Amino acid sequence: MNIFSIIIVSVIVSVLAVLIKQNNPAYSVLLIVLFVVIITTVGINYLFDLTGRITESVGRISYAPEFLKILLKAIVICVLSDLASNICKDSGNGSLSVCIDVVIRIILLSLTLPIVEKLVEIIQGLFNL
Amino acid sequence: MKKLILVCLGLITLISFPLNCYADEDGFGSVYDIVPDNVKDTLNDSDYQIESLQDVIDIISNEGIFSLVKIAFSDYSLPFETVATLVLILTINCSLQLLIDKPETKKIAQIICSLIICVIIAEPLKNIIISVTDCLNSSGVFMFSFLPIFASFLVTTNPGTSAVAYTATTYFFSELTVFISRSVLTPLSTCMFTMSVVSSVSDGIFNNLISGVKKLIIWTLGLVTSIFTAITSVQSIITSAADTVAIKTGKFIVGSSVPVVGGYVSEVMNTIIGSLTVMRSGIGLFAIIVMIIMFLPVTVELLMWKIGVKLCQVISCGTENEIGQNIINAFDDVITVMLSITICVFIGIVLSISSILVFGGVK
Repeated sequence: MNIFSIIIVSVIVSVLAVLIKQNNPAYSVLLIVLFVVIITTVGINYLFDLTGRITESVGRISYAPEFLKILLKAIVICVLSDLASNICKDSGNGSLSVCIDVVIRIILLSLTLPIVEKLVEIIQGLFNL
Repeated sequence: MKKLILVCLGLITLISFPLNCYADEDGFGSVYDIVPDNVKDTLNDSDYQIESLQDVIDIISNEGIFSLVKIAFSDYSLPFETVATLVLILTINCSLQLLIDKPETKKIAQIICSLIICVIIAEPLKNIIISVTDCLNSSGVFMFSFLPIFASFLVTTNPGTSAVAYTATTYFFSELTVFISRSVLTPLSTCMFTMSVVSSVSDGIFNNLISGVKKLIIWTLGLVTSIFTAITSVQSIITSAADTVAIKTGKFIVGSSVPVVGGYVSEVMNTIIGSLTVMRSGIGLFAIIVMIIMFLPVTVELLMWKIGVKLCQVISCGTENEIGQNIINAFDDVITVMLSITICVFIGIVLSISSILVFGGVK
């Protein structure tokens, strides 16, 4: 799916959503969610391709690919959580949006644990020299 | 008659049981034994076959002292690959800042990026510190064994109390420099980096302490170099008389480009050139070659890291990742200190050897 098809489909979906919202707001939200899922899947496919290339290019530094994977995972989580949180907010579920934000922050912090462990290990090694 | 018989018997006994006594032709054997293993390996892997002192002199006279420099060179692509990775992470961080709306999530993403930058930097830093410490240790051990042997050769050939006294003083300060660099400055640099990392992530809580440690390192290094300058000032007799334009230019470049100890290096540059001129031949030259092979790879590696980190600093200025920038700056500080220590110790050792040569009566 190229950029033009994405733009055209998004314009069509937004017009449809406005039209449907007048008669049935629930279906409008569903339509938007469906479109977001499709678009995100396309975006994530591009991201995986990018991840592969970046990992290949930094393969020489032994631990870099491992941490780059974590970073890219964090990007995906951040973007998806932002989308989900905004959708919840738009559909009037503010508390759900806040809940998503908090959970996502906890998940992100847990993602950094291997990095912190590695850092502590290196610093311990430095002091044992 | 009895005395004559006794003398004859003594002579016969001596001839019958000969003692195999011989002198090492040039003292190379005993000096080569104390050369660190890594330097021996480097010499063995090189195209040159160094089996006697004459081989060393032949190489220098035929191809110049810098022909030996190439022996010490290796692959230095890692600093630039690491810098490329850091730039990549900083770019990803910039993209993240654009993709994410919420400031809290932005901050978490920034911390994740900074931690990754930190880990990517910390591993090579550990290796750098190990290399510098190994180099200082090896040079200390080598000097510890080499200087007494060397001094004894000189004192045997040209006895003099001033030579012995000067040798002892220089030897003491040379060992002191190595000891302070290895046991005080290197661990302090590690502390400085660790505190900088913690301080970067926690809104600069250790900033004052870090600047204090940094000042302490620079002052200690300054003190050591000042003592050495004071000692080497006695060596005006080996200073080259011709202070040419080339030397002046060299002094200016060294003074402005070498961090922390640039002034010191610039100050004693004539002495260094004089020292190298003095050591055209002899075991002193071999010691200098050993030192070059020992110190040059580390110094070049540090220089490559310095260039790479400077490049990274310039690129990171354009990003919003302040934590990452602080970590890169801390890394730069440690590299600068390590480079200063390496240069300072190397010059100190060269001056020690040359001073002993001069006071030992080598012309």
